[in-house]
Amino acid sequence: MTTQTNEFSIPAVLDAAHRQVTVGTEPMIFHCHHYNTFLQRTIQDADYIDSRGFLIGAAAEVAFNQMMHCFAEAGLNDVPARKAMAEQIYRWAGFGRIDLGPLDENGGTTSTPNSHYSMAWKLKFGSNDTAVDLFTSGWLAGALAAIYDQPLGSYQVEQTACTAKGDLESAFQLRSGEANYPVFLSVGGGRLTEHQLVTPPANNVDYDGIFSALTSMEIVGNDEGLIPAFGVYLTRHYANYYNRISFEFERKMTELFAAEGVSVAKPLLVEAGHVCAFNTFGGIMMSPEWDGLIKPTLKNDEDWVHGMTAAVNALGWGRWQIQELKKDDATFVLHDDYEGVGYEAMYGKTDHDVAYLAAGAAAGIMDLVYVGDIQNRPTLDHAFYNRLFKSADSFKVETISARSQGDATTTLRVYR
Amino acid sequence: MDTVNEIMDWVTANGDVEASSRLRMKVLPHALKENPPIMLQALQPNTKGSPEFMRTLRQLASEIVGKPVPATANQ
Repeated sequence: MTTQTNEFSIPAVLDAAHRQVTVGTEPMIFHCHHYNTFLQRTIQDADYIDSRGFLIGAAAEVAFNQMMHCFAEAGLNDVPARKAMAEQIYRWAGFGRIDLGPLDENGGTTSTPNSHYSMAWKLKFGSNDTAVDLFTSGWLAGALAAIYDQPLGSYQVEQTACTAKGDLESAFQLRSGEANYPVFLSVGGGRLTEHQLVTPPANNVDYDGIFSALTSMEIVGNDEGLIPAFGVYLTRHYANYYNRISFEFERKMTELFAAEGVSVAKPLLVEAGHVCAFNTFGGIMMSPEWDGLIKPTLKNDEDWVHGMTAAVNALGWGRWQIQELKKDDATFVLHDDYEGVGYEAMYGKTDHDVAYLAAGAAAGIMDLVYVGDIQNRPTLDHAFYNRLFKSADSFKVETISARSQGDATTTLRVYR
Repeated sequence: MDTVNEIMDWVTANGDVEASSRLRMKVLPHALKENPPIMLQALQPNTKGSPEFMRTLRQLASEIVGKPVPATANQ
């Protein structure tokens, strides 16, 4: 399937059976600017580890793999056509606008006033002392290598200006030479399974209809390459980027501090899931689209949980099902959750669950419905976020099974 | 505030949801350099560190919450 709109021609492939969307074999998933910046800040808070390298390397990894496949599939051999497609994917995905024109096989400098990460960081945390768009830095290095048929890791990159610092534009300088970041090889879509569906509790939600409607919506970058929707700035981001930076972070913490490192990092990675749920799910549940498409069928609080879970299935995160649901206790069954699939493909099996985002997001749905009373349209602001997740009534998560540990599904019990 | 727990509790009460987790993240290498190491996931009510560690902890806590850690618990 090619996403064909008036402005974009993106070779996006929807695999409805696995709830996965790929572009150039890279799984693309929705996440908002709150999640993107919170996750990056969490990683950079550990300033005693060298995270800059893998934050750039992970972006180079996915951009290179995606562009190589896209160029080959489209039979693009000339540089201008390749650059045009890369610029289009960047903008379609909500990362901003980027001009690859000034770059050649030796590198060069390009700048933009519209960078998702720079804009989002300033919006969420205020100005920063250093440049923050490590994602675009790596993305450019990976894309340029693919455009000029060079191996991944053929370009050095530095961000030389950043709107989050107060500069008028974000600027990136690339030079041909040995990479100044680690080079990772993309695992693409990973190993997907045949979903053994569970029977959900009785509800009034049309899961398939919601999936179909939401995956048909045109949620793409605007003239600035941004996707303002549901009260947030969305991105159609790379699952393998999130996975690489989260798991490299976890591995570095483990190398330095053994189990204490993971136990300190985990609450923040799960909190990132709360951030995602609160802002994106909360925004969705208060949107005109929700009111028009989903809300009319909802008869009780449990339907609200089902309705949001149905919507999650359209985010590219894998298939989410509810196996049990009461007001104090729910079981979510995740088939091919992107964190579990990605971990397995990148590192193999491990001894613990790595579905951090999923844990925070599943708890966040329950918190929004049963603690935050999202049905009555609270104001989704900072103060409400703190009240909701500091509440003694807020939900906890227990892992019942984990794809990263070799189980068929990731199953999360959410309770209070 | 003389103990690690008191400062953590103050951060939890005065900071954002994630504030105490961020403090643990930032202070972890310092905690494990203490003799004996301070295990942040197993703090006791009376756990204290060296004067240097407690200074670092207070400074990081103040940065994360955006105001100085008070001298006493009820400030």
